[in-house]
Amino acid sequence: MNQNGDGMDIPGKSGYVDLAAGRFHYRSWALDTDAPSAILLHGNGNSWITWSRVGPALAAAGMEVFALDLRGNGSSVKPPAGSYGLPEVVGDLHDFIDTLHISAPSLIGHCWGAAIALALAAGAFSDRIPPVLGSLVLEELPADMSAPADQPVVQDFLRMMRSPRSYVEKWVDLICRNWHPTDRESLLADACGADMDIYLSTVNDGASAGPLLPLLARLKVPALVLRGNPQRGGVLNDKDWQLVQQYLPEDSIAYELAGSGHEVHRGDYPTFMRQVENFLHTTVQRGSA
Amino acid sequence: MPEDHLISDLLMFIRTQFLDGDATGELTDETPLLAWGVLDSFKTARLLSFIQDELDSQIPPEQLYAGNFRDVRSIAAMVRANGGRARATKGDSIALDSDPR
Repeated sequence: MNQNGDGMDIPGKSGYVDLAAGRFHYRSWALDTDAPSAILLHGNGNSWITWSRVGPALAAAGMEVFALDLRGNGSSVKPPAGSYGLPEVVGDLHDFIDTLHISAPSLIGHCWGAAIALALAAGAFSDRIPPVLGSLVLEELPADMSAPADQPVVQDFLRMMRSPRSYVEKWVDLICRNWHPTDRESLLADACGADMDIYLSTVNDGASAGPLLPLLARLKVPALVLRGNPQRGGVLNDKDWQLVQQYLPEDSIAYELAGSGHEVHRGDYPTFMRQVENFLHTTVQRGSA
Repeated sequence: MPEDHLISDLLMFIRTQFLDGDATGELTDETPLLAWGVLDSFKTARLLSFIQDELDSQIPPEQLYAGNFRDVRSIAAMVRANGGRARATKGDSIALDSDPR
């Protein structure tokens, strides 16, 4: 399987859209409904395929779901290294929402994707007025885009990218032995399909954004912030977690998945889905009241 | 013996990195690491990095399976079979190599 999901039976439909930066790929589920929308935003070095189980599950729960391949990843346009700062990527997401006329989407992001979702919602790094959003789910939001460069999870991913596929296959089977087979397949596709130069550029270019957690205080929509256990590889330490709770508006939630590491939606999928569906159910009801 | 040093290195690494020092001294070379949950996915990855970076053992793909990570004794056997060396042993050889005599 590759980052297109070839060789893997995943429901949904692939589409392409031309934005200012180039052609972007996205996967979508349940497009013919009038349901509330959600956009899934993967982490650095990943693609839409990281949401192989989450996308269909949210669609089955009554949502219209898009999973965007962010620039440089999956089947989307690959600008040269050095153009992966948050202003550029947030601009892509804004263009994506405008061009597809997605109405008040909820943004669900993992790590880099969470940083992008937060920056767009907070109106950071751009003179444009943020689009109307439903809510945010921020999984493993980094305190600073430069910080993950020293994280063991980053080192592990770099090690995988440098290794032969035969090694990575066995590595994933061993390390992720408790994951659902679909999620193991998706991690393997990501690890073997990611571009190392772009991966490192995303870390380096993103560093100029500075501290991200203060942006939480600027949110006008409810947010669910999920962190994995830092003892198991979660990127938010206890001090940063206190900052998250300090900055979050009253109508938002901070929740720790103690049994999960950085890969929350793949490592503890049942708890992730339960938290997200409960949160979206509440915020969607609130939005439509 | 090299095997004892390897076991000591592995025990030390697991105690300090994963068990907050193991103050109660529960960890032995036969503690079932996977069954007891000492090695979750993240810690298995960290341990593998330690084996490769610090013990100089490149584990071939076909040996990356749970049975080889059952306990410290089985891990040490795998490391030794793949050319790994205890850190103390490496330190000795470094000292000898740098000896001007």
